[in-house]
Amino acid sequence: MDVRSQVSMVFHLDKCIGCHTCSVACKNVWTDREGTEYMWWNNVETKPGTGYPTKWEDQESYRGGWKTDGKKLSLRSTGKARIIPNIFHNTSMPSMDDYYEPWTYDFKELFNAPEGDDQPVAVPISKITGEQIDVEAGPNWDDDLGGSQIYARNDPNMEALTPNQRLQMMSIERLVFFYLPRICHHCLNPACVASCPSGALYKRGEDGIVLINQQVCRAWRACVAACPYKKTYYNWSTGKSEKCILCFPRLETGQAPACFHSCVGRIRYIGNVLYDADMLPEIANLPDDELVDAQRRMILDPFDEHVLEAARKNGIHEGIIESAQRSPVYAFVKEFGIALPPHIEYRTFPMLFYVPPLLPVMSSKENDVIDNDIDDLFADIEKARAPIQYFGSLFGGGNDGVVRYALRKQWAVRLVRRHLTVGDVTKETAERALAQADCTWEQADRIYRLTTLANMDERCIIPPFQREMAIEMMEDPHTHRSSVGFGFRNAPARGN
Amino acid sequence: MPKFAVVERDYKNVYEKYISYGHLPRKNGLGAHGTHYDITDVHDELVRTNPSRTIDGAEHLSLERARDVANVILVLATVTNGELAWRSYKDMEEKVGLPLADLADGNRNVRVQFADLQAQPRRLLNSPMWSGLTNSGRAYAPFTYNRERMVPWRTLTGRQHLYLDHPLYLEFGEHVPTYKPGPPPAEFADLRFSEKVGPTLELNYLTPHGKWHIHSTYGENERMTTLGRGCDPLWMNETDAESLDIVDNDWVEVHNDNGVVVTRAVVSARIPRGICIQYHSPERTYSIPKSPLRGHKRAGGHNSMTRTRLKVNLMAGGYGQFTFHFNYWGPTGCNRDTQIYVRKLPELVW
Repeated sequence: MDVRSQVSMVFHLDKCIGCHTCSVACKNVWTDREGTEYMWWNNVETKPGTGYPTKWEDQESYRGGWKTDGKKLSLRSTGKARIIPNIFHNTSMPSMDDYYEPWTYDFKELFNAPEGDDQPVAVPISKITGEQIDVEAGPNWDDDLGGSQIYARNDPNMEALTPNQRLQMMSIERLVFFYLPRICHHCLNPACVASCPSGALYKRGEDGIVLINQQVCRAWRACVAACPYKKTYYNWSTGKSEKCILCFPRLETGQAPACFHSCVGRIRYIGNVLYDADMLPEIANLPDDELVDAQRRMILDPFDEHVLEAARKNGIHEGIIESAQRSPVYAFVKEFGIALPPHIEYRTFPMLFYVPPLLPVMSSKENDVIDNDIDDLFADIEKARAPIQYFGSLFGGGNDGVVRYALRKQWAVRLVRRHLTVGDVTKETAERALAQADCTWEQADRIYRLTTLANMDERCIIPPFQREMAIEMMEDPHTHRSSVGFGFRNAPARGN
Repeated sequence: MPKFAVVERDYKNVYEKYISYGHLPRKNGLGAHGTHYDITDVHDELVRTNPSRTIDGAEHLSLERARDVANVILVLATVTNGELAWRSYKDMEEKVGLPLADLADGNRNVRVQFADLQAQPRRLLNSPMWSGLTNSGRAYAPFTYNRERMVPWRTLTGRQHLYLDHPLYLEFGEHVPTYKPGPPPAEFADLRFSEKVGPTLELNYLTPHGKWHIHSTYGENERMTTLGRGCDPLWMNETDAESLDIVDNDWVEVHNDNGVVVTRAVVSARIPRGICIQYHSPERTYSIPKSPLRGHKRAGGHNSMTRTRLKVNLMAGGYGQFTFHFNYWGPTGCNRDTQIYVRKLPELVW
């Protein structure tokens, strides 16, 4: 058993209102520089939809992530047969057409326009060429567009549905959409790290955060092609690639990452989990629909004595263990079993988990009588507006069962709360629902509290990063103190 | 007969008065939402400690610098001056006949000034001006004051009520908040002179609040234009759009008797047929092309096509909560929808 600690995340999709405060917070903090115009380390997508970059989930064309022959993993994007012919141009790498051409407006015109009989206007101009452009794409182009012909119907997850289901999902009475906020997943088996010919990408030992060393990056952009979530970006100005750093400078000072801190809907949870790295080789080649369960098996019980012993043997600090025991991520993923990894079939083992949205429960209408019948406890989930197969494709690696489990449990919690607060659900019904959803009263209460009442201190359990100790190992803390805190001392430059 | 009041203007001192705080609040006290509190001593203390100006020999609080204005507001408001909140509750005790001042007991010494807000965000204090109770870190929720302290709602019955028995409301069928159909298209009377030029659809045009901005505020910065479509588009139904050969992101020209809008179309099954939406409000400073139908003059914004219609039942007055108060109760211009013609823009001219 090789126990390691990984900072992990849960996004509760039922709570996301799609306000993009996270995106703006991230962009203002990290990617408001030349060369990063099109980078959205955090973005929010409307699902069903094509996302950003367009159709990033379509790995037939982008060739991101890993493939398996049942015994061994290999990268889809590169390999002996692909590396030489594609050395100057990797055909599966997204281009500007897949992102968008960043633009601004010619606001000077408002002041400089010659006198005339009409009002001047600022026209859109490209931030790349400075020329006037026709704005045809953006990082959030299909916002709120569930049900559109062009976007929602081209969502790669629609392939899991029957034609009839697809049609239903687009009909006005059943039309549904939800938001999918996305950041780097800081995967356990990151394809970006594996793909880098320069070895510039690395996964930090102490917390599993995946980073790109700006001094080592040689602009191969192999990581851009290899990341199936398209969360590494190439900076045209510095000639280096960049990605979400999970705000590690904030984490190291005990603060939540900017996107977590700013989240209006309080959908974001962060905490570390202990996992067994030895298990990765044996589960990496399992069939798609077994991967969600296998990844959960990798995540270890932070109260188990054997686990703790192995953790201590690996040098994991008591403070890290203690924070793993309080981790909301462990609760959502492992104890409750209601948070799921996105597209685990890409086999990077993402450490960002989503609680799938229950979506508004529909009343049925017969003979003009609105019926909120809840006798058939879980009928609504099977009849839900977004077919369960859609979520199965997005969050289950094609395994609908894990999604159904997560939704049933959430629904059971709702019935319990309904019983307690409104009283129109009997105790017997609530108990029957709990039993069928593999949930207890106690767990229902914990899910309810963590979902609705948890404040910042419970949602974000930041492990104590032992920076002082790490520094002491390398140099005298007083020397270190006088040499930091002044930003980059030498800017990363092309060919550095 | 309306009330007339004689207002004298001292033009020589208009600016001086503009930058000084008058003495009427000191004399009359302050209040809103049915509350009232005396500020004499707080005001006089402010005059002693803060910058002041002398007009005709009398000291007035200075409003010359923005920082001083902020401090005058903070010191005289119940939510940032605990003593005034306590007084305001005392005043309410007399009106309501219940003990209420205990709600401010713990806050009487609290004062928040501008420098405090610069240092860190502060919580607002409990105040009878608002209906939420926020003591001990509790999150604001409206009407907790009424519900828990038995303070009557400021309505005719003193309760929350849904039924409005005013004769005008009864006559208009507005006495219960239930669904009412919109007026028939012809009643908008905004298409009497407009002509269909080329393939055109008549649609109901709605201008609700946007997701991306508060009216035009915040909408035009680079983050928001980038996260949107770089303009305020017209949302329309896919079948309607198809009938005009319009695909997503095409330019459209929308017009009626009142004005014209030229923008891009967002095509979605989420919009019912017969309806289109443009969020308010676009800024006419960016991404607004010219209108071929108007002789290539710059097109307008969402309000170019709507007009104000006074809603008659909001003119009912002098009856419980139907009492005129500036910016609180009175006739509003319900100018949020009308009928329009939409067509594909034949040529894009900036």
